[in-house]
Amino acid sequence: MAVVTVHNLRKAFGRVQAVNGVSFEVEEGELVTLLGESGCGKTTTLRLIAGLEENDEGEIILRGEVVSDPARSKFFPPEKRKIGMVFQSYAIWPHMTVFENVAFPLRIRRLPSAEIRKRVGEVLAMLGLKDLASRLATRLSGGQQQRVAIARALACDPAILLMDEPLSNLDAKLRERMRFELRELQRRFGIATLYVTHDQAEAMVLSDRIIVMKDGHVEQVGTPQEIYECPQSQFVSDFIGMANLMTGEVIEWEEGLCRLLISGNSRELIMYAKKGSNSGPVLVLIRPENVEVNEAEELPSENTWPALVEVGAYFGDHREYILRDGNISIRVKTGPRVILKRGEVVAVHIPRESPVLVGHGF
Amino acid sequence: MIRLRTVASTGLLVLVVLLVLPPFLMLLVGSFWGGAPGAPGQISLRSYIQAYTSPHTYQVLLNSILISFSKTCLAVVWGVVLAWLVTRTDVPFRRTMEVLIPVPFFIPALFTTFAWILLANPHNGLVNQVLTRVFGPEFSPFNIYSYGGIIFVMALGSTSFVYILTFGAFRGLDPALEEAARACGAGWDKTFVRITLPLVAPALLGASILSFIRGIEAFEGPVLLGTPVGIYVFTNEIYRAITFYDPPQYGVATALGMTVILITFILVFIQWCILGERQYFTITGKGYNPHTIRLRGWRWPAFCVFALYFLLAVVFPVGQLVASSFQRTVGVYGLELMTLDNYRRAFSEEIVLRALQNTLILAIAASSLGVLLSALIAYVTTRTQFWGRRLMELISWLPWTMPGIVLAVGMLWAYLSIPGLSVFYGTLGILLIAFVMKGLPLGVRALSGTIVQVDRELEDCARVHGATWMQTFWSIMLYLIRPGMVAGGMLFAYITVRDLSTPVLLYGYGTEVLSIAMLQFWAESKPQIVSVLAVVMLLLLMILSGAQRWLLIKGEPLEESEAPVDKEVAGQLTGT
Repeated sequence: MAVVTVHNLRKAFGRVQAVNGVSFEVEEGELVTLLGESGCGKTTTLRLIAGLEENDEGEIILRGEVVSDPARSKFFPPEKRKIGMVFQSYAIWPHMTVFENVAFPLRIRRLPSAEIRKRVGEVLAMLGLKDLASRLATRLSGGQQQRVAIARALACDPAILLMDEPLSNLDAKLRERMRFELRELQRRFGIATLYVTHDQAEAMVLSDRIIVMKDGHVEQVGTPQEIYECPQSQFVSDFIGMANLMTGEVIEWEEGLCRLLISGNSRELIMYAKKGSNSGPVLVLIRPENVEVNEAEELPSENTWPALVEVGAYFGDHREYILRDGNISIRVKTGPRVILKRGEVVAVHIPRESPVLVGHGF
Repeated sequence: MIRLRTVASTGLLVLVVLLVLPPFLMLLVGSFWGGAPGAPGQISLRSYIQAYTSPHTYQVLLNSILISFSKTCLAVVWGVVLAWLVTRTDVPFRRTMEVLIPVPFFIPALFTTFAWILLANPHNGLVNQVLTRVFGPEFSPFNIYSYGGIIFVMALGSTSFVYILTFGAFRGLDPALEEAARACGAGWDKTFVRITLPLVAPALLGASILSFIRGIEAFEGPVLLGTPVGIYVFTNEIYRAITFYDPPQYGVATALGMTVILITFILVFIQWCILGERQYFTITGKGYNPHTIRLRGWRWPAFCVFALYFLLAVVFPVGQLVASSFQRTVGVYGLELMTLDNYRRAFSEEIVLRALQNTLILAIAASSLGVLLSALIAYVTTRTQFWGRRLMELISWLPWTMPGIVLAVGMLWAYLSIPGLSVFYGTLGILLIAFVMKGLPLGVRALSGTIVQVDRELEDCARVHGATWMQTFWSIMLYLIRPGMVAGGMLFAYITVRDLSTPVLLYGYGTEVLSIAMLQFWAESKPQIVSVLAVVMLLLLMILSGAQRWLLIKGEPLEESEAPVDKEVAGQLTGT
């Protein structure tokens, strides 16, 4: 049984349809990310599940119990849903100590104080906060505040953990470390988690599954690998990672192969693809790291085009170049030692297995 | 080399010292001086002994504290509930409420007090009339001339004051702090008690202490409602000591005055300590809709809390005084009994015309002088390295600790006993000085707030391109701080128009102001004329606030400087 089931969720603020028919499930022990640009409705979806906003339509089911269904005028306020939530600002109460912050949900539920001490102690220990228990919550670093927020959310054994961009207030270095730490922590507690972020790298590292959202609806659901390798729309392919997107006409299909004519530079491209029904123009995605750059002598051969070097940049661990052939520009990622001069003509080779037809099925 | 800037700053410091210190020092000297101001006497503790061996003084002390404490409690509960409803819940019409709740604060205490006397006096108060008609002649429960009456009338204005001071704290609170509590399983009631309230506690405590100080300093309520039935607090006791006895008991008045200053001083100090120590930072949220709490069935009952307040504090008083300004006999209602005679009679009285003229002259003079002085002080204290800037700041704050009536006693002492100053006595000059002094603490604060916001580089740029310090101040600074200047100017004008406690001891024949004229007609039992003058005073204040808005719109104010200035205005009319 799914921990959370969301069915056809809708919410409007005034005339803006923030969430427009969203459905998904989160399974036991799974970490699912809602990923999208700001304003795509991902935070609103999370707040609807928490009960901090009231949905206009659709139903939310937490562990088999319907907690919101406007059609049957059913709405549980947040305190009646068994959730744990970590806020973007952490929302650590500045007038309480670390211990008091974490104990709050247990005190509200009127647990005996010995029990509270025991459970808070356990949670704090698991998060490495034991020594900070009596510290005033305002005297904590960003990373510590975050762990307190997580401890508080976990203290009362919630059905599900909701996290709203919890890493966005940390500096870049710490943020990267915390990604792994969060992942590890979630595994250890084995708690179903719904995580909101706009950072695709974060979503990649953390998630079992990613739900990409756009303009209030779900664009694609899948594992990080599926999302990256087989995007189902132009938006997803562009949003996740860097992408060379080209349009082309199918010339012919032959046993798992597709022969295309790329518009823009009128060159032929052969790629692996299952035969699709679509006949019109197709969208081809080629990731920059899957493009090879060779000396111009290699020309002409299969899937190899001449290209002019326009701009280059050095990133330490790799280099990136923007090359041009006719009306299309191709972004490539090379090793740090590959040095191309501006204005030079090189040969770009696209291996048959590199391109993907967008929206063409797995 | 001595620079012009230092000379000018020193000159300013001397001016501020001469303006503020004489009433203070002479109040202190006067309390140890045996005789009347200007008369021979010798240094002794006689005044203090006389004041503090009388059991009556302790009754006065007790009354002051009791009345002020009760009205503070009432105002804090009411004000906090209103602030919470407006900022955190989905109570109906909250946008309208947000605008209307501060209104009672701008209605003069004199106005509200007169109105409630007419509404709830035991003889022909409207409320009692209605109740007797409904429940029979025996049922006439309200008597405004009582402890309860004084506390109630004072709490009306204070509620609005507490609301204004705590509104920012409620609004600034990161909604996630409350949502986190909801997610942890707390209902909105527990969230309010355990999260919201503790988080706004510092602001709340600050507002409570300020409200309590204002209660100690209040004059209108006690003198109009307390004196007739023998309820005395510091302010009306000091007034009685000087006006009731012959010869006036200056010694007792100054001894009591010093006590009030001491109490205020301690309270300001306590507030300063507490606020200095416990300033919670609240992380700003994402600007999410902060109205998180759905009241559901409680929405309309909650709205009634506001409606009741607005009726009691604005609709009833204003309605009553407007009505009675058209009545032939006060307390007798009926459309056919309406008349314009009261207005005709009022404006044929010489004293009314004189009072109106004096009030206008003083308002204009006090606001222009006051705001210029405030701007200079604020500039020197915030933007220069002048050696005496801390001293100047401190001295400009001193009048804050003086209720109007005590300031007036100090002024009397200073201007009667220091040779050369007595020429001011009985002229508009002494009133002008008193009003400028009274407005100074807040005027300086309002302008410092604005000056701090002006980017230093704007000034440096003028200097680099060849302007002197003075030229920069006049041509760059004064121009950039116009919004603060307008707000500061209005603040001085407001104080001048509505205050009774300062002029009540300082006016002479020919220098009456509007509030004094009202008091005199009240003493002559002409409530219709008083109503006319009260309506005129309210109109004057409305014109002033209209003018302020117009000036600000016309001057295209710096957007961001408006908010802090308004907040200063909140604290302005302390204890008038």
